Amino acid sequence: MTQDLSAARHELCTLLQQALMLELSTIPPYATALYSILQEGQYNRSDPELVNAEPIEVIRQVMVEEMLHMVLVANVLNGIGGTPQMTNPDLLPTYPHALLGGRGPTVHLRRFTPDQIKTFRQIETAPESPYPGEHGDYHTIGGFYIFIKTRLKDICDTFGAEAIFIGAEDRQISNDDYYGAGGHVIEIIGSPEKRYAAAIEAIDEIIEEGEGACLGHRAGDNDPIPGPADHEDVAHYFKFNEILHSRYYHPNDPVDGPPTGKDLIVDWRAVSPMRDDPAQDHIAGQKDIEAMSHAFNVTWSKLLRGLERAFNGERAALRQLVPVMYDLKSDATKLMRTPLPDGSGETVGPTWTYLPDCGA
Amino acid sequence: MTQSDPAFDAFLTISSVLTGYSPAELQGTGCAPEYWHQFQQVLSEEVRESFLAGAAKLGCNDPDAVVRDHFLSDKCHGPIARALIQLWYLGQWAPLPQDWTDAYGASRFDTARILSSRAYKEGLVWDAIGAHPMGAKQQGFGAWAMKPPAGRAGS
Repeated sequence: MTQDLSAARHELCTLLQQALMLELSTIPPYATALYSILQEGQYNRSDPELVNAEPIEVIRQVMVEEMLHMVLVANVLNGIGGTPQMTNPDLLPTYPHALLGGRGPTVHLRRFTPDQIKTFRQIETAPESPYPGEHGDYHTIGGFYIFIKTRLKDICDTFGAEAIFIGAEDRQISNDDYYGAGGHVIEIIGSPEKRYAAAIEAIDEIIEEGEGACLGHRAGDNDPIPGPADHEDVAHYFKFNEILHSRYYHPNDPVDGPPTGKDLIVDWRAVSPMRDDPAQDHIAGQKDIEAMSHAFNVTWSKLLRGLERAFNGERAALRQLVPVMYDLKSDATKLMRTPLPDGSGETVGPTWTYLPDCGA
Repeated sequence: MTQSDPAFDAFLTISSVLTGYSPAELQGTGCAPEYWHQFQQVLSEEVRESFLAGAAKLGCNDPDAVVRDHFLSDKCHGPIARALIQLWYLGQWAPLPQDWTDAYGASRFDTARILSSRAYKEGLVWDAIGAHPMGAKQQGFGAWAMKPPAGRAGS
C-alpha cells in the first residue's frame, strides 16, 4: 500500500476518532441499565436493605473504565496531532446503535435484564484470533484496536514515529486531571520512540480491560480494584459474566470456565420498568415529561461539550464534569420513575440526544 | 393502587398545584405511591373524597381562587394541604393539629416522621434551593469549588 504522509496521518486520525466514538457509544447503554436498577429501600418499604448493590458496583466499574478508555484514546489522538471531536452530531451515536459501523453487535437502550447483560458481554467479547483484525477484518472492539495498532505500527515504520507523533504535549490528559478506578492514564509524551511505546501501551490497556484478550488465559487483568479487599480486577467480559452467573470470578479462573468465586446477589425484579429504546415519540405532546427529557439531554450535551474542551487543551474542564455526571444520573433516574402516559405501566427513559444549540 | 386510578390522579393534580412542580416531576421523585398511601391511611374516606373533589375545580378560569377557597383557607382542607406541601418538600409528614383531629378524626399514622430514606433524598426543597440532601446524592469531587445551581426558587 503506498500512501503519502498526510493520507497516513488522516487515516490514523479517522480511526482514533472512530475509537473515541466507540468508547462513548458504550456509555449510554451501560448507564441506562445501571440507572434502571433500583437501589436501597426503593422497592421494599419495610425492609430497606441495600439491594442489588453488587451488580450496580460491577456495571459502574465497567463504565468508569470506558471513560478511562475514552481519555486514553483522546491522548493517543492528541499525541499524533489530531483534534478529538465530541460534539459532532454526524459522528455521535444514536440508538439503537450498530457498533463498528455495523460489523459489531447492535446495542439498544434497555433496562437491566439478563438479555441486555448478554448483549454487553457480546460487546466485550474477545476476537477468536488477532490475525483477521490485523488485516482489517474485525468484528469486535478488540479486533478494531488490534487493527489500529497494526496501522499505527506500519505507518510509524514507513514514515518514522517523529513524523507521526507531533501533537503538543500540553494537550495530554494526566493522572492529575483524571481520577478513575481500575487503571491509570497514560500520557503520550517524551521522545518519538517513547510516545510510540506509550500509545501502544494505552491501546493494550484498553484491550486488556475490555475483554482480556491478551491476559494469558486468566480472567484477572492485573489491576487491583481499589478498596479494603484490594482484590484483582477482571476484564469487562468477565464482569458481565459474573452478573449472569450470580458469582464473582477468582482472578486465577481460566477464561473458558465459569466463575468460581464468592456469591454475587442479583435481583432482576428490582428494576424500573423502563420501555426499551426510549424515544421522543413515546412522550409526544406530554409537555411536562418532554421538559424532563429535555433537561436530561441538556445535561448530556453539557457533558459532551465539557469533554471536547478537556480533550482540546482545556484539561481542567475534566474535573468540572464530575458534578455534571451526577446530574445526569439524577435526571435519568427521575425519567425512569415517571410512568408513560399510555398506561402500560412502563416508564420513560433517557434518549441520550445531543442538543447542539441548548446553550448549556 | 393503580396508576390509572382517578383518585390518585386527582391527588397528583392537587399536589402539583400546591407544590409548583408538574405531576410528571412529582412522579419522578418516585415517592408518589408512598405519599398516596400515607394520605389514604391518615384521612377518612369522607375527608379524602371532599379534599380530592377540589381537583376538578382546578380546571376553571381562576385556579388560584380554588387553591385559596377550597384548599388553604378551608377549615378541613387547609391543614391537609399544608401537611401535603410539607410532605412533598421535606419528605416528612407533619401531624394535623389537635382541633382538626378533634373535628375530623385521628389516625395512628398521623405522626411526625420522614416516610422513608427516599422521601428524605427526594424532597423538593433540595431542588428548589439548588442544594442536595446532606449525606445523599453527592455532587462529586470538587463541587464545592463551583457556584451552586440556581435551583427552582432562584430561576
